[in-house]
Amino acid sequence: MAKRNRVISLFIFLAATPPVSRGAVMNRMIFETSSGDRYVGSSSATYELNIDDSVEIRIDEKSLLGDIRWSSSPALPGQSLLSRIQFLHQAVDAFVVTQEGLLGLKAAGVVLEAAKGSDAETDARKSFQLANSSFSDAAVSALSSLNESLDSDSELKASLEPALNEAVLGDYGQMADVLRRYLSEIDQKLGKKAENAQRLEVTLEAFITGGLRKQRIHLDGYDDIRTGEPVPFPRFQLALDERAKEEFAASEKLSESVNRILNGSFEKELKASIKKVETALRELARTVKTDVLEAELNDTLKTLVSVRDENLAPVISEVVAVRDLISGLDKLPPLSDETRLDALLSIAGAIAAKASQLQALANSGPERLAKLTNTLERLAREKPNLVNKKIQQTVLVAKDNLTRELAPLKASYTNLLEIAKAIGMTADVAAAADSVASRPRELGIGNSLDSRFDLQTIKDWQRNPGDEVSVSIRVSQKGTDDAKAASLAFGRQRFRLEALGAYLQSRAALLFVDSRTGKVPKQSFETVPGAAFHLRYGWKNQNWWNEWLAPGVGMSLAMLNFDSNKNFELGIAGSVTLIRDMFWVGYGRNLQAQADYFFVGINPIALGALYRQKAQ
Amino acid sequence: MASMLKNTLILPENDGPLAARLLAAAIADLDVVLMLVFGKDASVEQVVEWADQLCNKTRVSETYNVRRVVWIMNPAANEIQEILKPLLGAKEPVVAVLNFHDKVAGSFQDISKVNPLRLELEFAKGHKV
Repeated sequence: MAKRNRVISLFIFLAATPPVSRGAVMNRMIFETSSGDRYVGSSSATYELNIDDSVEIRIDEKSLLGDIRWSSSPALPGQSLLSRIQFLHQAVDAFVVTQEGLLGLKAAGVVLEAAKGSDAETDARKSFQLANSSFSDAAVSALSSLNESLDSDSELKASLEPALNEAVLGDYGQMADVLRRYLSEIDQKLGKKAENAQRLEVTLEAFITGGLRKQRIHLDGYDDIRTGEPVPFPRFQLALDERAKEEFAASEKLSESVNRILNGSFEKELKASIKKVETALRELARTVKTDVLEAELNDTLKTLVSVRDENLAPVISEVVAVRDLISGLDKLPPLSDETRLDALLSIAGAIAAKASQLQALANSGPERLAKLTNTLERLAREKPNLVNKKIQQTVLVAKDNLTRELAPLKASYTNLLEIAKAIGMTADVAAAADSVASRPRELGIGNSLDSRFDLQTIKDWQRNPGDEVSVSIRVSQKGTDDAKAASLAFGRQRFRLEALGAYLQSRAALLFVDSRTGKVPKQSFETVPGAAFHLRYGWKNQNWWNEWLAPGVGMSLAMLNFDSNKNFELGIAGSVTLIRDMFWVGYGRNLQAQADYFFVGINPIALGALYRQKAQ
Repeated sequence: MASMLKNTLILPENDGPLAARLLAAAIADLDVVLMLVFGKDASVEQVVEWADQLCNKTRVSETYNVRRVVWIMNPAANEIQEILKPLLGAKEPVVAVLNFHDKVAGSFQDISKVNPLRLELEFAKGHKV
């Protein structure tokens, strides 16, 4: 219970520090799967998950605390206390481990003494030396770290060194006791000091991504996302699944686009659309006066930060959030003359990001500006030297204008999404997934931070090998609207789903078909959509095979058009795919036109997914 | 001396040959981490007392302790120097720790920097095999 209280009071106090530590990375989420694998996140590596797994997520509060990177400002009150507490928690553990090492050393010493002069002496000596080395490693590490901290923290030195010098003459257990007593004292101090401070909360989110779709996954205790009945992965399904249908539709669309790109009409349409949105955005930025507002917000931010007052942290958060909302509002990515697919996807990605910014501005801009107006008014009364009239006036005008211009803003957002979609990035799906509400948990309020998810119960999602699950954790200040702005630490771990053993997959792709023999005129790589069933095999933890080479062998079908006199031409071919069905090659027969054909293919959704993966 | 020294060999100050024999025997003893303390003023005496107490934590039995202290009040004696020079080199420390292989694992040059915590750290280094 004492430990719980300590953690609570500690976290309460931590919330009082300004949220200037974005980017701190946490690395101690532990994942245990139903198939017995265990992973520790977050790392840049992507782990493999069995496609039918359920996963337990364990979060160690103490380790999580250690991962939070606090403000580097030495002027912040309580800063040294915080680092002191983090260190002391670790030191207690280290001395307990050292005491265990000492007991091991003594036990090995007894065995050695008894074995002296006998045949067992050599083995006993080896064990004794091993125990000594192990003790030495633990003790040197614990003591060096303690001495360094005492040298760098004069207050800690004055409070602790006499007691530690006394305790070390006994054993390491006594040293751990001294540290525990001191921790308890400063916890009480912190608890009192932080009674009125905000608390910290933890947000845990998981997404599954496959093709160009992305969907939130239910995490026990963190959201209300509905789950379905458990559905095991169907290994041998002889019908086109949802993904194959999507791929077919995308290939069909791309087939049209390729023709439009080839005759130049696509680029013209795209440029015209983007120009229209650009004009609307420039007009919006001019009306809201974003350039003036951004400059004023930056000046205000500088002034507020320079004061180094922890009470101003919420105001700084508000200013940063508003500045991020309007920053670069009128700037769209330049549309290059490139018509290559990767260039188009790159432009589409940037446009989708701009659409997200507009959506956020439309959803929360007026409310945020209104709140900031009130905050600045209050601050101007309490600390007149910190806030000038100009920033107050600018924020007020921006709020009024933005409220008035909401309709054109939303139209610009819709236009951008349309453009992104036209190029092939269905970013609206991801945006919709992002908007599902999370239910953060407060740190240290008795309830565990642990959670779990079950891949088999993900609703409205057909799992496929190669789909990716990402689990992210964020620690932020409670009561701040923008969790990302107030983020104190963030961690993420990615997993790739794999079906082990043999399975049959339906896929679709854009095929470039070249006629080889027969009575019809020569076709030079005509673009058509095609579907196929491919047999694949997944090996446990063989990333090179499962993810990169990822071969499939099977049969493909395509609707062809070799002979203008025939209304229906079906092509059947043997096909081989590589890199998770991204690249296809095959040879087959047009049954109606009685002609052989060769084809190469590309799966646009797989390519888009790879691009997104690369861009993350 | 506030407390009795249970783990310390005090070498005779005025009998160089005897002191050297005792020191050589202590160094030759296997399975012992040895702390050598040099000098005889009040601060050295304090260090010896701390070192002796630090040895208590590694006592295995009535007859065997993994740690031991040797207090060399007169390190300048020729016979002592003959043993120490090959071990410690030209610059003699105020405290030195010899590991199981009789190599210097830790030392202090300045007696004012010594306290029980730091002394224990140097002792702990001596346990590394």
